[in-house]
Amino acid sequence: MTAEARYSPAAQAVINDYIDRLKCRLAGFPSCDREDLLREIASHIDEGFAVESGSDEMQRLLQVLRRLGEPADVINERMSPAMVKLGKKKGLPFYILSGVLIALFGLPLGLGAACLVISVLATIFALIVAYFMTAISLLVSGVAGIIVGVLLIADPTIIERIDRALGANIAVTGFPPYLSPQTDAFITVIICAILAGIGALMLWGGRYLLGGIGYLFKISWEKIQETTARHRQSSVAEQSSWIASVSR
Amino acid sequence: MNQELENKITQLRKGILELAIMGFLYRETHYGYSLVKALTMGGNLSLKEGTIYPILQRMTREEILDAHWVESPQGPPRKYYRLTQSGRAIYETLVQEFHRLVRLVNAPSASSLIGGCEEVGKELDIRKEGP
Repeated sequence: MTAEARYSPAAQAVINDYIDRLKCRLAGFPSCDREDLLREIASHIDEGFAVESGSDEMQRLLQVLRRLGEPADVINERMSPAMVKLGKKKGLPFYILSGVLIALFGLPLGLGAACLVISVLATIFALIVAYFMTAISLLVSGVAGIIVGVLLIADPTIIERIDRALGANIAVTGFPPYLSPQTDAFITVIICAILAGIGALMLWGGRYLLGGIGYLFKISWEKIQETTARHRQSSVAEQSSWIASVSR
Repeated sequence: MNQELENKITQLRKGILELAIMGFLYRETHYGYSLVKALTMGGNLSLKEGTIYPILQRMTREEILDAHWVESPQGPPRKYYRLTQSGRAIYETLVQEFHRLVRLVNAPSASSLIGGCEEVGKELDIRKEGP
């Protein structure tokens, strides 16, 4: 890379500007190619500057850059003939054909795939919501049942008294009448405790469920990113080597 | 010089440039700057020096050239190039082709190309031009 200390700040700024403009022209290139090219041209500038005669630093530098050519010319060198010959490329009808095919079938297929993905995501989301709703309702009704049961054990007449106080009629359906109200309430408490326990267990397990689903999503997201990155890389490489092969 | 002629010259040079690069690298190892100097030294070829780098990169990708970075005692590291084994074979073929084309371009007459057979010239009704 450029040895910073060899140039005055103004000269360094000119070099940086040149390299930046070059970088813009190289936007579509694979990053390793781009870095290598920039490094090579920076090395060329240093070398040319060292060899260039003259006393004025800026004059020497500008002379080197003039001979190097404008970034647009440097990178255009292999693009422009490609454009000229593009129409003559033998495979062109196939490119057009594949374009038409993609437009005809690719788009609907792509939309279909998107719908599929969205519906699967929605289903998973709905399942998660249903799971937690079930857990919470089991827990809440269980706890409420326990409270009612405990109150009944303590005072079997409490319901009637509440009824009277409120002027309402809260019916508690009991077990078969041959059981005493206390036993009745006790069984209620046990059943409700089991329900609440199941609810609590489900909530507790939900953490793992969420974690697992999150993990699955993370993995598939990474896979998607990896695949698209690789695809983009190879298609850019293919494209630039294709352009290069045409430009010969 | 008019634009059209200039374009024709540019096109011609572009085709030759790659061959000239291979020619130098067939005999010597070069880095970008030294290669540019070698190509432009005799004043036979004027080019924007930077344009050589995308060409070198493409030829490296095509495995015609082999490149590696070397630290330089004076100044920045340099990327040295040389022809690969297949690059050498390609160069040899291209040079033969090039010489054939030069012979074609320099041929004094069509009949001289077809083994000096005057009959062919008559058959095709070729007339002499120029002095």
